[in-house]
Amino acid sequence: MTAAIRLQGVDYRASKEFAIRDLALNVPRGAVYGFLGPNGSGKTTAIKLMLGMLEAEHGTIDVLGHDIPRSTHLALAKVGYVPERLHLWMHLTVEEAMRVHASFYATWDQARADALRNQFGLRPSQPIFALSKGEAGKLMMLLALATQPELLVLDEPTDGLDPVVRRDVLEALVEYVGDNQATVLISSHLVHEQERICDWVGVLDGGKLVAEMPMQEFRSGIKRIRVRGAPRAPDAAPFTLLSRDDQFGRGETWVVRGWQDAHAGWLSQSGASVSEVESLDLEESFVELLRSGRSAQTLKVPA
Amino acid sequence: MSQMTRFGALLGVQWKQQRKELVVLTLLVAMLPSTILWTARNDGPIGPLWYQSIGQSIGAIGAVAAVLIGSLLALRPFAFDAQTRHVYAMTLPVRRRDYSMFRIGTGVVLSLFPTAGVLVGALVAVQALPSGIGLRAFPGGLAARFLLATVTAFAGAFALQYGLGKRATRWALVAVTTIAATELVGQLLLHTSLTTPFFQALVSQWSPLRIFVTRWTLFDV
Repeated sequence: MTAAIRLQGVDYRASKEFAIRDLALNVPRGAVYGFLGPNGSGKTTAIKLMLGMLEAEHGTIDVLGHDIPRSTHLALAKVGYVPERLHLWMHLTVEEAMRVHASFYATWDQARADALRNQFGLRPSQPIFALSKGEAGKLMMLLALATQPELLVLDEPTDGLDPVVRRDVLEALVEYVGDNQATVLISSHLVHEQERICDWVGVLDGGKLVAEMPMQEFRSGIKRIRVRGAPRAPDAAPFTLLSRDDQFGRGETWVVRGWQDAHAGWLSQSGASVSEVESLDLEESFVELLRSGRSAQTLKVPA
Repeated sequence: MSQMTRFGALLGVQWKQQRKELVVLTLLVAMLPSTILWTARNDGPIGPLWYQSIGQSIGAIGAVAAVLIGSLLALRPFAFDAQTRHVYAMTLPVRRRDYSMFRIGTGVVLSLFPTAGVLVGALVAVQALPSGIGLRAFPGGLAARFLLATVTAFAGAFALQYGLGKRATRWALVAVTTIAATELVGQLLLHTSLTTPFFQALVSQWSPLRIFVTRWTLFDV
């Protein structure tokens, strides 16, 4: 499967405190890719690098077969972008914003734009500065979808929207993706929302990609198991131990990735026994991944 | 999409952003010559020298107005873009250099409005010039100088703002402070102006800034 977005070895220093280091990321064509991470993890910075708004110090970025930043304008002609904050010229009306946007995109679909405007309940004469947060979010989604993009890059598109508006926006997105087989990269810290619509997931934390895998694998691949007589250092384990907590002498709770039922046999060879295996939901899996990533980083710090 | 369509769209955006101030400024510069002529009527005997002096005043104020309007046309669109951290501009599917050229083009086109104001105002004021006093009026020349000066000021402000971005104000303040401090040191310690050569070089024969110091006058021999 070819990649709609590919980042390799990307470095970018945003400030003294924060940097993206050696970021590698692959968004497969046709995927709805959930870009997860806590606030301040670098999601917006990574998106700005992908769209040529920022320039990486090292590494390569390819978007829809175009090198960024050299051919950014060619990539942007096929990308619909919805940023986390309203980015339009405030003094324009809804209709004027649509007209200006249309003049920059050969693929602009006026019929779709009008249909979405009606669906979203936006009045053509409404000035942008007077739009509510929900209306502004709808207008940005309208502009992105009406250009019939091959790739949609959505940075926290539903953050701060009420549930009704969020549903409207996501419905329009899902309908467009279903009709056009477009690729979507959707950044959010709302894990449950991602779980419903995404088929791939990438987790970013502290400027590093902690995990990248199909959603199904992410959802089913991380388990919480209760272990009695747990070995002290399960180095050769056929799964990845993400975290372990002592249960006050009643064994340990492990969170593991890549668990299969047959792995209980490996544990029993080490003198341990598994009493319970529990699947984690996406949010718990996400939190455990972040925890394990952070503790691994902590361990690397020399004493 | 043709580049002209895109240019037209950006021209429309900037017109809507700045139309109120442009209309006010165009009216002000249009009324300027007649207002100066009218208010100066009590300043001594009205003759050729009076007209020449008033014509130079109109020109001098026109040069200042050109600097202000040119700067405004460059700085205000940047400020509008900066309100949204330039995100919309940077995610439009155009090369950065093309976007800059569009912005330069829209600024130059919009500078025609106050220029038309200067021309109309000068033509009206010329009606006050009595025949047979040996002076000629140059409304077209004044308007042409105004346009050149506006475009020059626009180019300077545009280069400063778009080249330096958020740092433009800081660097402009550093430059002004350095010049002021140099002049102060020269006057206090050496009793001479140290900045005169600098300003002479700025308006030398080959400098575009010379437009601001050449003879700006509405009435001349």
